[in-house]
Amino acid sequence: MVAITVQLGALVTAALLMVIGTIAVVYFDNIIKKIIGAAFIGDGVNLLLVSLGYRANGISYIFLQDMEVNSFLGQAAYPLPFALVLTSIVIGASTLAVMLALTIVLYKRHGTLSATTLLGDERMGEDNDE
Amino acid sequence: MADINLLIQSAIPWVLFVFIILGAIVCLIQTDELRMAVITSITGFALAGAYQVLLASDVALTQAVVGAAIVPTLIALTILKTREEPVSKEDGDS
Amino acid sequence: MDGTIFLPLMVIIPIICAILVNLIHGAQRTTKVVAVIGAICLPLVPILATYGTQYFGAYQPLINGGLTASLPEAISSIVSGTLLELFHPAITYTFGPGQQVILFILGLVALCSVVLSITETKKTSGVYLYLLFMLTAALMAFVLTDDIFNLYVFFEIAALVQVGLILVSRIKGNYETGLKYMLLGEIGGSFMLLGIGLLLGLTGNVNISDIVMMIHSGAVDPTNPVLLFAAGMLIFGWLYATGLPPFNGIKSEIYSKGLPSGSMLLQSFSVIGCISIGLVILRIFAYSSTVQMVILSVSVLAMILGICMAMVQDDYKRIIAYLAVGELGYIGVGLGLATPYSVTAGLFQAVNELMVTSLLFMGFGVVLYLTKTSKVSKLGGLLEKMPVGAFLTIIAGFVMAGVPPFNVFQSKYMLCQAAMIAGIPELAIIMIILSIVTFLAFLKIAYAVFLQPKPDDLEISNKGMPKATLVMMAVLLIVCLVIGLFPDMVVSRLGYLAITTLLF
Repeated sequence: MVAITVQLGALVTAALLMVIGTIAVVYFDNIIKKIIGAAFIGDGVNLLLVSLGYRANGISYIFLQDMEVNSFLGQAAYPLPFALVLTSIVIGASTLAVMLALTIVLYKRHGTLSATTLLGDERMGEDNDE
Repeated sequence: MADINLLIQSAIPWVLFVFIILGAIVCLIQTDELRMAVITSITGFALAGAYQVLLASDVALTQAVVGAAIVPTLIALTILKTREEPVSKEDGDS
Repeated sequence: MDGTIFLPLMVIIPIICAILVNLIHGAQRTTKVVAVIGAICLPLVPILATYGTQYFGAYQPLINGGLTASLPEAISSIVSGTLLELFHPAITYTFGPGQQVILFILGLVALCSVVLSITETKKTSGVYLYLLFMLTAALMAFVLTDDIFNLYVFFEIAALVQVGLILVSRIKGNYETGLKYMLLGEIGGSFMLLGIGLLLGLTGNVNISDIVMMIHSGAVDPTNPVLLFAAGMLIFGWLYATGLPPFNGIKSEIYSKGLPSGSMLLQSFSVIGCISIGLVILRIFAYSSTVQMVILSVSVLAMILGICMAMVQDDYKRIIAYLAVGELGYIGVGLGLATPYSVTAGLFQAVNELMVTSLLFMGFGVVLYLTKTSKVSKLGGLLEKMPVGAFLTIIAGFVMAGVPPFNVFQSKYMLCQAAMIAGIPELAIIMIILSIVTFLAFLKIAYAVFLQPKPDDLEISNKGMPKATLVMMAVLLIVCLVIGLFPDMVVSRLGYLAITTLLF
């Protein structure tokens, strides 16, 4: 009973994290906050994936020598989503690093972190000359 | 005694979930940017704990390193770099 | 020798080349030699490979019998006789006739791009070649993979590499565009992963064949709203990868910020992403007419928007970029109609567009190389300066608009026919009209750049025409002509892919 709600809680948390991230990306003007928001969306998706593999009253998915196969299969968590999340965390971190590096370069050029001046549409017209 | 242990154990995931959400919100509404970078690690660390609770110990290890240490450091570095006076304004490469 | 060992090589060769050219970055001659040898391998390997399936780590489905011996007795007794026996336990690459054609053409475009980047830059940059090879590897894996998470990983790799390709070009505003594209890419990738996660939660699998099997065998309720939500998320990722609306603006900005050789591969990412992710969506949600309607309507919107936006631009790079986005709509129409004939036509159009858009980027790359400006209004009279180049570029424009006897004529004809068969003649009319408008838009820039008298303030550099570019353009045009004259050899193979997509 309690365990089912833990999974549900994790799913709700994941959804909230994604919503917070989306709001941050859309409404904040500071480019670093936008980037952190995008990272939160990724974290939310990771949490959702992890909670998919969770099993109520389960055990970790490591098969030890003295375990019995049937009870292991009955209790162990589903490891496939965890393997995916490992990859996803690393990808997210590297993407974040590149975005932050770009932010530093842009700050050195324009002296601002405001997204409307850096990424706004009014810049699109003036970028034609090479 | 056993009751208290059980209570604590069943409460841990919820505390972690609350920390994740609160950490995210508090982090984003900060006006001081350096503090924002530090607070990012709360969400990262709470996420690592949540992964452990959800039976994914290897993911928890990775997340603890990446989310609670590497990402806040990177963000803090970026903020320190962007606090300096910009070296040159509008020297677009041609 | 068994030809299936070439399957992983198609991804491994570009990755190894990428690492090598980055390592020996300092030595100019060695870098060039390694890059050219690697690039020549790219189109050759798909021809040499035999059709088949590659199970990484030799983890075959249990029903093939390879792994049964290594399983504990208790597990074997549980597994035998259930659906579990059919599942693919590891990443699987499938290689069939359709993939062969697509990969051959992709390899050809990558070869042109690598040669172009070597000849057009004075100092060969190992980092730039690294990015080109890495993107090629990601695209090859896109076409081959049968594993939806593998697709996502290469999607993210491609997103990072694309930003790299924009950053190395020293065009003004490239950093801003790169950051914007990356932010969108992070969100698009996350949403795609969300869709994959939901599919995984419902079916317990990331292998596309297994997901399809679970849905078709009734183990998962196809009307489940969560499944439809997952479809929405995957379509979001598809739109981002393809650059259909609402991402058409940023996508065309990306093209115009890259060097010509980079833009060629950037548009290849759009085309390959369009067909590979599109085919995944079609395979999994083949039963849902809603999904097909969404794909169809977005594609029609993209065609109209892309071509209308192209008409009002003054920058020829932007014009080609918008035309390329508009042409992607044709592929989407083929996929959205979801009959074997229309999907074949869409794939055929994709293969053709890979070459034609590359041709245009190459041709106008020469113009940029000679004049250092991309404003149409500042250009003129280049016909005397580069007669052969101008001729090839104008032919390429004709090919794109669908002039017989070239290949795009055949594929657009097939698409119109598919629309008629599907009972939507209006769509065929829209496609024909837009084809004419494309022709006009191209004629406008071709006239302005090549034919109208040369403005006084235009400085044309006296550097000679890059010969390698012309040779590459001629080769691609000949391939276009051959495919246009004998479309059957491509269409029959792509038809095989289309039928396996829709039926299994």
